[in-house]
Amino acid sequence: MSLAEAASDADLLDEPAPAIELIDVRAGYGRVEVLHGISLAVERGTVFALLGPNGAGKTTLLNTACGFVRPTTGCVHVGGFHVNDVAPEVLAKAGVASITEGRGVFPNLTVSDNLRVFTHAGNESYAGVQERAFDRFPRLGERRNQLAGTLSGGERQMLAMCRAFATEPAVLLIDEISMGLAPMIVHGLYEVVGQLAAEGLTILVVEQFAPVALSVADKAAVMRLGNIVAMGKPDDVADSLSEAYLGAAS
Amino acid sequence: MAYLPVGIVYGCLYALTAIGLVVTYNTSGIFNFAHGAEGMFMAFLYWQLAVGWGVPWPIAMLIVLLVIGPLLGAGIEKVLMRHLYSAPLAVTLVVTLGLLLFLLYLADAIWTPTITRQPPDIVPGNFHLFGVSVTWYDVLVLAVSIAVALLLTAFFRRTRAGITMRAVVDDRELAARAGASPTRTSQLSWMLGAFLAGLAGIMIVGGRLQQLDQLNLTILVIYGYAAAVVGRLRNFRLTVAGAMLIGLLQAYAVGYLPVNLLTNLGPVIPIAVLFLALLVIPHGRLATARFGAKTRRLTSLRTSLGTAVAFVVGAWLVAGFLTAGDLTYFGRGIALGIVLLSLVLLTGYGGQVSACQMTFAGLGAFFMGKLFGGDSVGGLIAAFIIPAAAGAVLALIVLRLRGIYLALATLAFAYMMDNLFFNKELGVGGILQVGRFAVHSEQAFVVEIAVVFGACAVAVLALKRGEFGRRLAAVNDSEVACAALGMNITGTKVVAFTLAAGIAGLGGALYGGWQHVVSPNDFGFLLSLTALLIIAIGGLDTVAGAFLAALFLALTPVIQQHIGDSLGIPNLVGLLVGLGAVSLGRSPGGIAGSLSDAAEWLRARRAAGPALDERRREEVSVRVAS
Amino acid sequence: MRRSKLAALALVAIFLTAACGLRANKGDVRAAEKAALGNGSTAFGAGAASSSEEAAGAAGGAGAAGGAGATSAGGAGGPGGATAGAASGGGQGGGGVGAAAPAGGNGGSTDVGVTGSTITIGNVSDLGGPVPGLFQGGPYGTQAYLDYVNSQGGIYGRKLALKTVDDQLDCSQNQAAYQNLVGQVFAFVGSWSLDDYCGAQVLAQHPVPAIQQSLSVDFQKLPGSYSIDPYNAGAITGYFEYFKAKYPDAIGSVGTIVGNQPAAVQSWKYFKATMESLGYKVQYEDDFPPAQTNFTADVVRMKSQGIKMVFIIAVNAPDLAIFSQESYQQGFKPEVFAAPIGYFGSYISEAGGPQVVEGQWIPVVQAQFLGEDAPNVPEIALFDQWMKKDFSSFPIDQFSNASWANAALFVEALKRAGPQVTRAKLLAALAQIHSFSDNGTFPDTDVASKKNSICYMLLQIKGGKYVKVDTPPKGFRCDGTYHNVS
Repeated sequence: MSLAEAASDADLLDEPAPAIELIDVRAGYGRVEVLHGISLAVERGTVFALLGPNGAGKTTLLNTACGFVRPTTGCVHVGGFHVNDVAPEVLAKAGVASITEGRGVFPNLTVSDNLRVFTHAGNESYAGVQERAFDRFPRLGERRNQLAGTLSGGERQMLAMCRAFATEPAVLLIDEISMGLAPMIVHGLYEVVGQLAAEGLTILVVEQFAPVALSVADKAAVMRLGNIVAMGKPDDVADSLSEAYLGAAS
Repeated sequence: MAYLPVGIVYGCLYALTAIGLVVTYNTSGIFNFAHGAEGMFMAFLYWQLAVGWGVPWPIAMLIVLLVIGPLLGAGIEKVLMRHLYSAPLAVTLVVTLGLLLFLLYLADAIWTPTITRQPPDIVPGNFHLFGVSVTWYDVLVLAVSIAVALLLTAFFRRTRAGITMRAVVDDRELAARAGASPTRTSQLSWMLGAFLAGLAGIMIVGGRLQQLDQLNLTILVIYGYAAAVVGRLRNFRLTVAGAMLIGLLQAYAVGYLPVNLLTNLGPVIPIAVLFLALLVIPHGRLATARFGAKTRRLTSLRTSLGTAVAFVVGAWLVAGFLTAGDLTYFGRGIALGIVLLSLVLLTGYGGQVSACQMTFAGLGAFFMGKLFGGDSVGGLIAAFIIPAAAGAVLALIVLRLRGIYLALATLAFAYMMDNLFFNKELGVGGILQVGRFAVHSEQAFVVEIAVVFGACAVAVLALKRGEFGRRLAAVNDSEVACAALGMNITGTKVVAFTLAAGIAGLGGALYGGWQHVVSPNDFGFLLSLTALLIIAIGGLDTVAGAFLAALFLALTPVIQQHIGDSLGIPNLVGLLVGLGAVSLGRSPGGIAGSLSDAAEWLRARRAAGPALDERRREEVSVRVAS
Repeated sequence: MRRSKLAALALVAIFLTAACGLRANKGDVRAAEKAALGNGSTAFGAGAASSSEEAAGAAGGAGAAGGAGATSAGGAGGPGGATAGAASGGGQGGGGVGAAAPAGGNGGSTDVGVTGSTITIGNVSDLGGPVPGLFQGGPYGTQAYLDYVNSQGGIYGRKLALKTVDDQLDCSQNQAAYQNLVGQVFAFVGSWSLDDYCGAQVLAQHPVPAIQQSLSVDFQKLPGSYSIDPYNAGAITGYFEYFKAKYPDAIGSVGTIVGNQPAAVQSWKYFKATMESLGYKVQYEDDFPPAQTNFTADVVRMKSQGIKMVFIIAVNAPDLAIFSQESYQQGFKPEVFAAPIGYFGSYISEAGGPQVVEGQWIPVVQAQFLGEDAPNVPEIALFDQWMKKDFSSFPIDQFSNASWANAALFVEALKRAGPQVTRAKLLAALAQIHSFSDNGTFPDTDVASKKNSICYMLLQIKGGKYVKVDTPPKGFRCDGTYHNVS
């Protein structure tokens, strides 16, 4: 069953399982371990911001949550289901949408074709997806027959963001969507994130650009060198940010 | 005018072939050398059903194209290709080549080649057009080709499955994130490819009482390569145009070229088109991903010298107690090993896939035999220098080509040399005597070959250790980065080609001397491809791989006589070659690579202290506590 | 995983050795077929041989000029007869083919491969590898003859045994086979291999008798090499003169297609030179690559050029069939269509039926071994009978027929060499055989001179059958000469 269905089933339980939960997860690439025992939980309908400097392992964590990296030890739960060995496309179909920095669109396909491919992730019809996408981003509608690779950076990210809502996912994982974009555009994108959160979507946001992420988050964590060094309310976490980024004598 | 119908039919057949090739290349990033072989196999299955077992031909066709073909394609994807998506180009080429050989030998084993077979005459009759007889079958081919082109265009532009296929090529990972299963999509594309290959194969044999011939059908796809390259390996319309061009050129060449010129050029026209297209047409983005080249330990000078000496002594000892017949294989194996060394240098270290090393070997043998009496040191030197020069020239011509395009260009070069040089020049009746320098007895010459092999191995290893080796590795890793650093990429590439060609030439000269005679048979393009296959299985990027390969070349034919004969399978080898290539797909470093990895792993285990994991765990718990 | 890799490498290695000289030059296979057919004017299409191999046409030159005009019955007092060389009978010492052991014993092991009870001979042929069964007829034909001889009691108290090695179309394997066998067998008989130029290097150092069809100049040049149909640089002129007399207009405009393979090209060179020496003019000749199996463009061009005579020697059976079919479809009907290679079991049906090949001329230099000559030539009947007996499912072809005849030549020499036989004696005996025809299977040939006979038969396809035309019902026409091409 899809996570959405599982989610509604879980409403019957007293304590609904977190949308995403990592339990003591170690993971890496080949002989290099990147995550050294990560535990966190993202409750349903909340926005969770994951911060930290480069090389902290944020992207690896995200990729573990959506199935691209297999944990060497530990468990990954999505909607209460153990998904360690599930293929990424299966998770995507089940409602986990992941949008990573720099790779949001198919450059050699037109905008419309991109949307067509996006329909794999849910049960929405192509027409429905297009409607929703062009409603929220009219600029895309104007450029529907243009090759995605020739769009501007902001337009490309808009197209990428379409996956966040056009197919009505249950969980959204966002990785550094602000990369290389002007602040105004970044704000616009995070407004969308905020709207989606208001509509009840569970969102895990990875960002280097801390302030804007913290402004929409319900909970936050800071990672450094493969470990979580701080976790809690955004305000609390903000204090330990500089220490986390710059390191401090402990 | 009279040749127009003929040219168009040729063109359609090439187009059908090429389109299938382009489809799989575009959707999987793998250039499928075995495409023609798949088509050949399905044509034979069709014959078996329609003629062998009397099934009505429409049903036979449907079964083969819609049931067996897709199953074959899906099977190939699952067993072979799935593991190749991030493998280096040389390995993917080699694995598809292994598949080609496997299908070829399987077809030979099932349907004895010495019996001629004809397909059912499905649309008999002809009519006259512009004074030339055109059969209804020709019209069918044309109609089918047009239908296929239109359907495919619609499929890729309008259906979700088709668009998803293109998406998977664009960005496999993103496709997975978007919920499209790259595996399922790849399966679909290989099924589609097999269908198209089968369609082309059946159409080709059906016209004008073509015979079903295993080899020809497999090789016909080479003409398809040319068309595919004209289409930049991605554009259908251009591919079809290219195919038509080649078909018409061939027909009109027969029609209008003066006959002696035609004699030389005829077979080469499609390949010349391929070569020109590679050089002239701006290339599309390459679809293959690359994995980081494995860094391996460098062998010290002392170790390599010591091993080389041990090898020579060992060869001398072994040669002493082998029978005369077995010694034949032994010497040849080592001589061919020298050619394999050249591949390690050029393709293994340098990442430049060369499908023409045997051609350089042939040049070496040729000059050894022709110059200075056939057995002098001058001949040996010429056998190094002249192929080296040829290698330099070729490298300069194909300088801007990379990846599959470079491989195809070297293949085209080998094919053209087969047809324009070796066939004409190699002595009277195609046979050239080649002598031996300095020594003449079998055992002594084996030692001479072993000495040269050892010397080349030491030299190649020394190159790898030195500055040139580092530059070569850098260019292999990222040309862009090298360019940014201001490195002389051209020089590096040309030198690599030159040295490799020279070494191959030397190997060829010794091979010729060992065998006393050489013929065009010994250096054909298929053999260059086979050499690539062998060294890939041995270990493409290690000298040890060349050594292993040479050793096996030298010793195993003996075993074959015992196993193959006692099992009563004449083509046991051919079948198993393909299986060998399958395992290569799982582990691209070849045998030597696996051995070296295992050794590394052992070394690491012994050297490391308590497992890294445990140490980290302590650290974390300390931090959390504090 | 490692082990499977090792195994894989082993096999690949084996493959490479087997494959050297392989598919890339299938043309050679055709060449072999050609050559196999015997130098001479006969290049029988290899009905059984692999298809679409390029014509090797090594068949090259035909008979010897020497063969002194008409030869006829060897042995028992041949009459000299000119053209109607009667099918020679006899020529074999005494009554039957065997020879009884002499009273004092046969001397036991008088040479390599000889014991008191057995003589072992060797055969190295292309049997497996890339083209399975290519020259299977070679060892089969030889074996059939040996079985026949053994059934008659053998030679001087010894039975004849055959050791066959498959060289898998590979030069090294051919060399290795000869290397290995040279120390085990008495002589080589009936081999057929495209790579015999490799083995020739070995035999150049060992004077071993080799009575078989050479497919290379190197092998033919060996002092120990003898054949009932030697491989020489040239062709016989007999049937060319016949066509010239019968169709004087046609010979000025000849067309052909040639498989693009060294041996095929060379073979065609010999024939062309021969034709031109008689005043023929070749107006159209086209090389084609191995992969090409469609000749429409050639047919169209020949037709539009007004070619009056087609003579095809350097392609193989299936390609000839295709060419015939396409000519028929395009309505191209030259005055003369001659193809010596067109005598094989499935030609007519492959070409598309009797109407397609009606009237085609098929000059040959062997008796009609498919069976038509069985009533005339007892040896043919014997051959067909023993082949059926020993290898019933094997389709009779020219390779087996020629090997049978060469085996007969070997046995004849054995008899003449006497019971205390050595290789030297056998070679000496061969050097004395100036007349041999295997009882009419071949025209009478001066084997010792290593020159070809000039005799031939004219067949024409009429009503789906190969019918002799202007040829005596028994025997050969023996007019014309042998044209040497230097």
